[in-house]
This record gives sequence, structure tokens and C-alpha cells, in this order.
Amino acid sequence: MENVKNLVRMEGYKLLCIRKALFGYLALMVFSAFAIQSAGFFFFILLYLLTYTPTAYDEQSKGEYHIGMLPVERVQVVQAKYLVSLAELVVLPLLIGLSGGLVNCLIEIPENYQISFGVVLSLFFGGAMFVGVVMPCLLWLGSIRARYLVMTIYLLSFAGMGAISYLDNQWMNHIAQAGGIWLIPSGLAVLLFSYAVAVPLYRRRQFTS
Amino acid sequence: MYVIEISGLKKRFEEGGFCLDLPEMRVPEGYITGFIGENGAGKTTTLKLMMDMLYPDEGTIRILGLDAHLQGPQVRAQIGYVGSTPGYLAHATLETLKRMHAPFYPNWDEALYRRFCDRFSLDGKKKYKDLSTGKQKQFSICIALSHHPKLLLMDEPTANLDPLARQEILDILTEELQREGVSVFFSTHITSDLDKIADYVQFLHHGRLLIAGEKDRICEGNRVVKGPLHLLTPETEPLFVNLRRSEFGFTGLTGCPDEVFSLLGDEAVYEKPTVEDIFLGYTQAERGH
Amino acid sequence: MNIIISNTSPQPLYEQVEEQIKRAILSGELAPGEALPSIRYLARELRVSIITAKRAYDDLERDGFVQTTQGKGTFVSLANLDRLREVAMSQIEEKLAEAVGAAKAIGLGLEEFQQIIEELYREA
Repeated sequence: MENVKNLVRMEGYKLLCIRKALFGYLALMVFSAFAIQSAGFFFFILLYLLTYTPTAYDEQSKGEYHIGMLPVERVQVVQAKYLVSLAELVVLPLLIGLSGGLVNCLIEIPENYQISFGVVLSLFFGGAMFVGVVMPCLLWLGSIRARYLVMTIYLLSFAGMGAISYLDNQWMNHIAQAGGIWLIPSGLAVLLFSYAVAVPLYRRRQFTS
Repeated sequence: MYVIEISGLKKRFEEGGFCLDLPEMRVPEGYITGFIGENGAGKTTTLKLMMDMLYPDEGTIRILGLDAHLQGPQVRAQIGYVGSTPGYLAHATLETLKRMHAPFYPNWDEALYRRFCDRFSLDGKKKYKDLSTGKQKQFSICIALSHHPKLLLMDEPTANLDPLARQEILDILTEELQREGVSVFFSTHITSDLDKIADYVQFLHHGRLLIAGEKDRICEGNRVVKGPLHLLTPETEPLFVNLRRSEFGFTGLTGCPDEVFSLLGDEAVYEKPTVEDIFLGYTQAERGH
Repeated sequence: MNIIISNTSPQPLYEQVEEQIKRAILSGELAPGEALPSIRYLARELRVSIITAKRAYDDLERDGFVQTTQGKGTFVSLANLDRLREVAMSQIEEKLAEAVGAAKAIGLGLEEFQQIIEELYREA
């Protein structure tokens, strides 16, 4: 659909506008691929930024008004946002995987720091969970009201991951082994479910203030 | 016939207890209609309801013959909207913003956009946030007009602008009306805007439509009367919409100037009211002055 | 053609426009068949509402001074100028007849009445 394509383009332009902030983290993420912990860490920071910041910028400039004036349907706006997130969830873990694979070839890395294909899949799945929870909140409440909620979810996830790492520092590999290739459709299912929740929420939203 | 038709519209806001109540509101096609009301009267709410950014509790809004909610995208494709908060990404350049918006409109006219930019001296490489308020407004108008909209919807287009910039915008609006088939509907609280360019006016007060009609007819059908206090008698007072008494005389607005003239004669001075006189007169009357 | 509009005059705007165009036609300033500006252009230049300009043109057409052709515009009618003068004259006669009636009703003499007319003519 033409409109969705244009909306995706718009999101792309918005991301371009904040590329300087993102680039730093992106570089850190790629270059820390010698250890999954650091790469994963930057992955989640980047994901947070990519998801939250464009919406925040939008609200600063009252972007919802200018989306509101466009000749598009609400569902198309949601579709565009999820497509962009999906793209991010595919590209970033792949980058980590490629970079990690490269590093693996060059130097000897201890096993629990290695980046395997399974780990890339868990990153995709974990990211999908994060987006799946956060995106409907952002769409329904707008970034200003959702700010604390999203921040809390984010910190809780971090804390959670930290706790799990303490108990089992190979946990990402274990998830990967347990889920295997099924992590891909599971992640997609999470996103799809989240989308199904987000659409009626956004449709019902009214832009007061 | 009518580019906008509202019927039975109600919208209530719990906080503040404000309620917009428009049983009927019609905006004629092909003319400039000004929508005036004090701050908080409900002008922005009405415009947002038209743009499907807010939903009514009751009632329907039809724009260009289509339902504003059910056929929102088709309606908005033919509307050029200039909001009081434009909502453009502040850090983006004008050229980027144009590239973001143009593809949504099948009737986008790039040459027209360039002409407007030249006319307003807008530099595509500048960032939106680096522009003055006046230039930001001009850019919004550029974007709104460049896709040949049938309806130009504007929320306080001249607010916060100096008189020169304001006049520029009013000139653009009248220019646009040179083309047949374009209608303009704009809200403002600056009454001189309406004196200058409006064909029709709608007065909004506390969420209700006080007066609606042809601007010239309304102004010509009312008079501002000034005279000595002794002219105010139980017979003459009711003829006035509102009255202000001072030590030195009275000033009042009347909707029946012929009757007043026949009773007061040459002892009073009669002036044709401006839109402000009408607006103040009738809203003060509503408030019970 | 000059058209000067006063916003503060008690005379309705459309009447002012109408009158001044009539004057231009009757004095020959606007020739028969000559094109008048479009309603929207006139409205914009004079800073009056389009409805006002339209009403002025409609009245001029009703009285036979101009003719509007769909798609082409408004033109000074080719009718005999004398005929138009006659029409304007009979309108003036009507108004004077009213004034005469009113004057006689209060017993105003002919000389006094003529004086009033002279004064008004000089003032306007």
C-alpha cells in the first residue's frame, strides 16, 4: 500500500534526523561483538532508542498532529511502525552475528562469550518481546505519558536479564538451544499479537491537548 | 453548495466541563469563512473534529460531501491543513519535510511548491527549528497549498505574527480564492482578519454558535450607537444588544438600527460596526452585561 | 475607473461599488462592450468580500448596465447609453417623488424644498 510505504519512508527520515545519536551506539554494538554480553547490551540500548526516540521527537514537535492531518488510515500508521521495528529486529542481530562471526575467525574467544547463530536468534526473540510490549503503550499513550512506563519496562528487563545472567551466564545460548529455529516464528507471533492489540488502541486514540 | 456540514455535533470534555454543542453549522463552498471565538471557545476542538483527530460524542461532520470520520483519508487528501501547532519535525530541513509529505498527495504540484518557496524566500536547506515563527507559518502554508486542495482549513493562521507577516498571509488567502472551487475556513481571535477578507463569519462562544452569516450583511444590519444618557429610556433600552454607560454618554450595539434611528434621531451618532464590535457586543450580551 | 470604498460610510458597500461603476458607465469612462474585472479580482483589490462584489454586479446586470456571460466574464452592456440614463433617471424621479410626498406632508414650501436639494447637491 502506497500510504504504508510513505509512512515507512517518513519513519526512515525521522531516524536519519537522529542518526548522530544512534550511530555512536551502533558502532559500539558492532565493535563489541567480541563478547555477547556487551553486544547484547548495546543492542538493547539501541533498540530502546530506535523505538522510543522517534516517538519522543514527534511529541516534542507535536508530530501526532501532522500525522493526524495526513490522508492515511490509523491502521496504516501502526503497520508502518511495526514494519520499521521488524526491520530493526532483523538487521541489528544480523549485524551482531556477522561481526561476531568475523571476530571469531580472527581471534580465540572463550565459549561463553561467543556469538553463535543461536544467540542471534535469541536477540531477535528478546527484541520482539520488548517491542511487543512497548509499542502498544507508545501508540496508545503517546511518548510523553508512556515515558515512565516504557522506562520502567526497560529497566525491569535489564534487571531481569542481569539476574538471569547471575544465575546462568550462558542463558542466551540455553534459550537458543531450547528454542532453536522456533525462535523466529515465536518472535513473529509476539509481534503479530502486539500489532493486533495496538491497532484498536491507536484507532481509538484522540489527540487532545 | 456547502463544503462543510455539521449536524447535531456534541463533544464534552470532562476536565474543565467544556462542551461543544453545534446543532447545525454550514460552511459555504467557494468563499472565505472566518471562525471567531475567544480563547477556549472551542475553535481548535471544532477543527480537530473536522480532521478526525478528535471523535464526536454525537453528530456528524460532512466535508466535501464525505463523512469526515468514515472517509477520513479521502477527505484529508483534499484538505490543506495549517494547524496552530504544525507538528513538523524540528530538526529536519525544509527539503526533507517536503519529501516526507509530498508523496501522500496525488495532486502534489512540485512547480507550485517551488514558486511558493521563492515567494516566501524559504531555503530548503534550513532546519525547521531555525526559522522564525512567521517563516514557519509560511512553510506550513506552502505545504498545505502545493497539492491543490479544495479546502484550506486553518487554525489561527495569523496568531503571533507581526502585522506585516499577517497581511502577507491574508493576501495569499485572497489570492488562492482567485481560483474557482477553493474554499477557506480559518479560525482566529484577531477580528481585523475577518474585517479584511472574510465573506462569511461564524461566531463561537462557550462551545455554541452565536451568530453565523454573511459578514457584510451582519455589519450592515447592526449599528454602533453613541449618544447622551438621557436617550436611554425603558422604550429604547431593549433595542440594544449591549450597552455601556459612562459619565459622558452611552455606547451600544443594536440589531435594529432603523427603529433606533426613528426613536433617537440625530441626537445620537451611528456607526457601522466592525467584526470586533459585533463579536464583543453579542458575547457580552450572552454573559449578561 | 476609480472605485473608492468607505468602510465607515452608512451606505452599504455593495451600493457604493454599484453606484461608482454605474457612474463610470454613464459618463462613458467605461465603453459599451468593455470588460469589467472579474468578481474575485475586484473583491480582492477593493478588499471587500466576494459576496459584496457579486451583489453589486448582480444589481448592475438586473438594471441592464452590464451583462455576464458564463465563462467569459462581465461586460458593459451594448444597450443604448441613453436608455440606461433613462432608467437611472426614472429611479431618481421615484426617489424624489417620495421626498416630495414627505415634504408636502409636513407642509414644506417649494422654495424651501429646492433650497434643501441645492444644499444636498453641493455637499455630496
